[in-house]
Amino acid sequence: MDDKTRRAFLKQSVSAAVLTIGGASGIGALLKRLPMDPVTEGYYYQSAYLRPPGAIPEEKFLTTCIQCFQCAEVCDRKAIRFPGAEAGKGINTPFIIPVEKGCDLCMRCTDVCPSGALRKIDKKDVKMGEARIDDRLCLPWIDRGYCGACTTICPNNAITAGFRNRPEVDKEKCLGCGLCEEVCVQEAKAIRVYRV
Amino acid sequence: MINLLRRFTQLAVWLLLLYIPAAGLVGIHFITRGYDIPLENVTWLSHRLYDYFHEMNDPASYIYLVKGSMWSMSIGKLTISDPLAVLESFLSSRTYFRPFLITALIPIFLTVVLGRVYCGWLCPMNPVFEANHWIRKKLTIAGIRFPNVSFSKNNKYYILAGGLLCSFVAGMSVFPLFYPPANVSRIVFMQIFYSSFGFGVGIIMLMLLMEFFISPRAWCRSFCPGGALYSLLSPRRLLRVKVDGVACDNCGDCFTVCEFGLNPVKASDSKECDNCGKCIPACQKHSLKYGAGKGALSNG
Repeated sequence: MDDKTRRAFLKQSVSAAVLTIGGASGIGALLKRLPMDPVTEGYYYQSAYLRPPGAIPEEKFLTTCIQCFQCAEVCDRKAIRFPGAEAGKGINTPFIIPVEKGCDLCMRCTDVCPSGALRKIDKKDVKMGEARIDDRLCLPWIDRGYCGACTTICPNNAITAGFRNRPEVDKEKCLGCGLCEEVCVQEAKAIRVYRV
Repeated sequence: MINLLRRFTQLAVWLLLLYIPAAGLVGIHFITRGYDIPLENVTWLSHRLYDYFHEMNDPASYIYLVKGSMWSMSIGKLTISDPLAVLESFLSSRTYFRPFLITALIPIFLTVVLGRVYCGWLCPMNPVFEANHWIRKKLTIAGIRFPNVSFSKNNKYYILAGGLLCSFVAGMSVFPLFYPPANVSRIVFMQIFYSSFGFGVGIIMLMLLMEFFISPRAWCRSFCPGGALYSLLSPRRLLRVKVDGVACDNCGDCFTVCEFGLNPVKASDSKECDNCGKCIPACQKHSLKYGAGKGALSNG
């Protein structure tokens, strides 16, 4: 290799390296600015998107999940769904959409996750979200009869019927599984699960 | 013979990719048993598997023996992940999670010993790209002229480094969006499991069109980040295609069939060769053979 070709080779590799580093950091910075949470950043302001049980905190989850779909495969209720590009940074990562299907806490997804995005934890320690009741929509709250759907389905007895059978959520006991939102008889759900 | 064996493993990989989601649907049905998912609106394959597993005592334990995709697969208690997935997740999350890191050990070991065999023997997109290339070759013989742009084989190392840096900066997985094995596994899974697929199909179509009209086998040769990682792991591999220099008469039959555009007589010592063995039956003098270690079998 004589001097001229060596110089050309050096020039070529240096420019390629600069292009790679610059382009990758640029695209990375752009991707970093994508909305992380489709709920709070305004994409799905109407429906709650929850992470499966045992998920590590959201920022960590996005960086750890490798999008391998094993959690969806073992999910008995097919509750785990994968949103597309509309989820921003959360593209192709597992979500539970409680309007469609809640989670029955079988915890099989935590057993199969290889990457450590879903950790094996006790059922009692699950905190996927928190249920809130809209007293303008809930039937007992507006005196339209006795419903009791959410109080019956709640796996941790976090929803209790109070005065006139009006449901009330115990925020300490609520696991955020979303079953109450799934079974709510109102078309516009009177009980919704929000991420905490 | 070698070609037949390779086609057989590729067919097995594709059948596995189709079997896993179809069997997963059946498994859901058996566990929930009519809770709210009847076995309808599923594929033909799921119905056949349902008939097969129906007689068994504990079908779910058999169905869930194999889970996952080519990106991360668990067989029984053993989990095997793509080294690219492990590297990317390690860099973007910046945490040391040992149970995940050790899942990449088996593919890394196999690559160090056998070379880039994943590309030629296991990658589910390889037969698709090869079929695409085959059609292009036939049309070229028939007289249609396509442009033949060649890209540098070093591009893939830049894409690997750039993708890793990108996922490190952005804090999310970037490779599964376009890396063909992960992408095609996801498309097949989504199509069977949810009857939908994302924009990954568009990326696969773009790759196929680019290879068909602009540059043959450009993705595997010069752009694939997974291939780059396996190439970097394989320079000291044991298994190599070796030439018997006495028998070889330099006819050049082998480098017209090489999918990677190499000269198998000389370049199998480089790290680009994926040990697919396509050149071995192509040699009419039987001078190419699999062997251990560097160098030729004999010098002619």
